[in-house]
Amino acid sequence: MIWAVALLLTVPAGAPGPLAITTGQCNGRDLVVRLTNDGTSPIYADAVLSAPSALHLPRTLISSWLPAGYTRSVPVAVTAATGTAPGTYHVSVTSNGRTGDVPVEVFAPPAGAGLMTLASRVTASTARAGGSACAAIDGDPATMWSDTTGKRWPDWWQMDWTASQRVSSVEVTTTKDWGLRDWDVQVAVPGGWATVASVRGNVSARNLTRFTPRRTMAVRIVTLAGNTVNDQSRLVEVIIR
Amino acid sequence: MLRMPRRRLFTLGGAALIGTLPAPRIGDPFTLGVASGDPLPEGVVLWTRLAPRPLEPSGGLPPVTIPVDWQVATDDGFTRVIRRGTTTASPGYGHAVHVDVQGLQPGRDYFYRFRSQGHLSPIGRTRTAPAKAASPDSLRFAIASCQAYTDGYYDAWRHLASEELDVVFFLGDYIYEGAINSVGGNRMDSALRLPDTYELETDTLDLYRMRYALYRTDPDLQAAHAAFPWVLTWDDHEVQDNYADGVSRFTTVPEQDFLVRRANAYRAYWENQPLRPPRQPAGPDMSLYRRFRFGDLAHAYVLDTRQYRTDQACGDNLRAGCEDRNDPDRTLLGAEQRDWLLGKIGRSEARWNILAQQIMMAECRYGGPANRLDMDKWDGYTADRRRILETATRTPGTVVISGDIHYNYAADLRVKFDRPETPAVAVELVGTSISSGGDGSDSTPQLDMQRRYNPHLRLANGQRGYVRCELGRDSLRADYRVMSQVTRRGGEISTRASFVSERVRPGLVTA
Repeated sequence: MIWAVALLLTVPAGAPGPLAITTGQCNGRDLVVRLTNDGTSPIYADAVLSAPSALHLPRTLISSWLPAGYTRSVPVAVTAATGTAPGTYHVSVTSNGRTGDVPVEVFAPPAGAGLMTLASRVTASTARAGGSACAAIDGDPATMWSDTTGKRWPDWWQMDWTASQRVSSVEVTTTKDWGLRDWDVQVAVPGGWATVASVRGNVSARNLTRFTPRRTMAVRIVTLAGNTVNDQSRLVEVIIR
Repeated sequence: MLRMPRRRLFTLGGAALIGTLPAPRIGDPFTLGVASGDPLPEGVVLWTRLAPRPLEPSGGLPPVTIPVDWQVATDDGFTRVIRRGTTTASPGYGHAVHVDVQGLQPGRDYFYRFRSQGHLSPIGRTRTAPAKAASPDSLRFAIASCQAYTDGYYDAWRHLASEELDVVFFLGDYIYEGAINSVGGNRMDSALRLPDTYELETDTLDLYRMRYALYRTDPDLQAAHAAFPWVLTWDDHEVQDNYADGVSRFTTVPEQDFLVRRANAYRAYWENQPLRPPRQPAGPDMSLYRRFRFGDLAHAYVLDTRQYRTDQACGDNLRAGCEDRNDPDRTLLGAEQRDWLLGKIGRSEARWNILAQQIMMAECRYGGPANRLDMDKWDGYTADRRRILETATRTPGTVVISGDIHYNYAADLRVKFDRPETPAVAVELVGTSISSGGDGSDSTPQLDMQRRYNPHLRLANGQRGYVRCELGRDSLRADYRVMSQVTRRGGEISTRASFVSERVRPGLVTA
C-alpha cells in the first residue's frame, strides 16, 4: 500500500504564527489538523498529536478514511489549566513520517479580567456534543450549553474559580422559544451550596438576577423547568459579576 | 444439551494452557471480552479485540501486529479442543480479531477462548446452526436493540445471559454517537472518570473505535456476548442519528463529507462485531444484509434499512398528510436488497421466515386530530412495505422483528391496516431498548393514544428489556421481558406480556 498523506496544520482562520491562549478550561482555542490524501487511491490515515503536560488536548489521535485528493479537517481544542506557567509550548502532529509543529503561547488572564475569563472550570450535569458547558460563556449567541436528559429536571451548570470571588449578579441568556423558565442561583459555601436567588416563570430570552454580594469559589445554576416543550436546559450565555 | 450456569464460565481457568505461558509483556489485552456470531451449520465467527488500556486511543497498543492464539473445544474445561489456530491482530483493524471457524458439527454448543502476550481471554460459549436438512423442533432467540451507554446500566444483558437461547438478534443502535461526560451520563458512575475525548461526537475512525471500546468494557454486555452467538445489524446511531444513505441528518453537510464519516463508522462497526470476513469495508460501502438458515424450521433475513434508503419524506419526523410517503419510487431497502429479499422469501421452504430489521413495520398512527405518522419508519416507505406484506400473504410463517423505537409493541400485520376485519398476513415483534430512554414506564399518554388509534397493536409498553421468542413447528411464542429500572444497578426482570401466533393463521393472541 502506498501511503501518501500531506499534513497541514493551521491555527484559526488560517492565520500564521503561534496559537495564543489564556489559561482556564474555557479559554482554549482550536488548532486545525488537515489531513490530505495526495495520492490516487483511497487510504486510511492516522495522525498522532503530542503536547507537553502543561497543555491539554482532548485527543491524541485522528484516524480517517481519505478518498484520493480529499482533505479532512479536524479542529482540536488546545487548553492550559489555570495556574499554568505562561510561555511558549509546542503541539506536534505526525502522520506518515511527516511532522508539523504548532507553537502555543500561554498567557495568564490579564489584570481586571472578568469572572468568566478567570473561571478555572466550567462543568454541567450533562452536555451534548457541540453544546459543552463552555459554550455558555463563549460570547457566541450561536452556541449554547444544553443537557442530554430530555424532559428530566433538574440539571445544573457550574463555574469554579481557584480563588474566592465577589459575586452579586447572574445574567442568563436562554433561547426565545423553549427557553428556561425556572432556575435557582447557588453559591458554594463550606459543606455545600446556598441558594442566593430563585427565578420563576421567566419568559424572556435574557434575565438579570441581582442578589446580596457574596464571596465564593463557585456559582451553580440549577435549572428546574423550561417553557413550552419543557425538554432541555438551554444556556446561550451566562455573565456573572 | 449442555446448559452451563453462566457464572461458572468465567471462573474456569483453562489449566491446560496456563502452565506454558510466557511472562506477560503487556497488561491484560482482553478487557473487551469475547464474542461469537453469524452461526452456520459448520461454522461460526469468533471475535475479540486487544486493548490493554481500553479507554485510550488504540486501546493503549502501539501500531504493531500482535499474534493471537485461539481454541474451540466441546467442553468448557478445554480438555477436548477440536479446532485451534493463530491469527493476527493488526493496527489497521484496531487490533480486532475475527476467526471464521469451520468444520464444526451442526446444532451444538462449543466453547472458545483466545491467548495473547501471555494472557488468556474469558471463555465464550457459542452454538452452530442446525444442519441444512435438519427438522428442529424449536428455535429460541432474543430480540434486542438500542443500548445508549449514557441512559442506563446493562442489567438487561445480565438477565438475558441466563436465558436459554440459540441465538441473539441485535437490531441496531449498538453505540450512540453523542457526547458522554466523565460519569457516563445518567449512569452517574463517579468511578468511571472518562477522559474528555468521549465528549467529542464520534465522526473519525479513532473516535468510533474508542466508543465501541467503552461499550464493550461493560461486564453485563460482555456476559451476553460470551453466552450466545449474535446476529447483528445496524441502525442509524452507529453512524449518525436518522441518516439516510449518503444524506446526513444535517442538510448542510456535503454528501462527500458525510460518506467519509460513514466509511469511518462502518469500518469501526465491522472491526467491533463478530462479522465474517471478507465483509470488512474499504470505504463508505459495506454489505450487511444476509440470510441464516436454521434447518427447515426458520430462515432469518437480516436487513439494512439505512444504507440504501431514499431520504425521509416530507422532511422526516412526525407528519400528517404526507403523500410523498406513498411514492412508488421511494425505497427503504434499495432495489437490490428488496429484490433479493422478495426472491428468497418467495422460494423459501422454511416453516418460518424471520425478517430481522431495524424499524417498526406496522402502521403506527400517533392519534388525535393530527394523527401523524413517523417518516423515519416503514410508514414513510409504504411501497416497499406493501410488496413485502403481499409476499407474506403467500408465505405462511412470516415474522418481522424490529428495534429502534425504545418501546415494546406486538402487532398484527395486514396489507391494508385500515381494514382491521381482514386477516393478518404476518406478525411483528418490536423489541424495546436495552437502556436507551432510561427507566421508562409501563405506558405513556402517547402509547395510550397509539393503542386507541391502531387496533392491530396488541401491546404497547414503555419499559426497557428484550423479547424472548421460541419458534415451534406450528406456532411461535413471544415473552416481553421488562426491567424494573436501568438508571441504577440491580434492575430486576419480569415478563410483562406473552403472546402466541399460529404459523398458518397469523395473529397474536395473549398466551
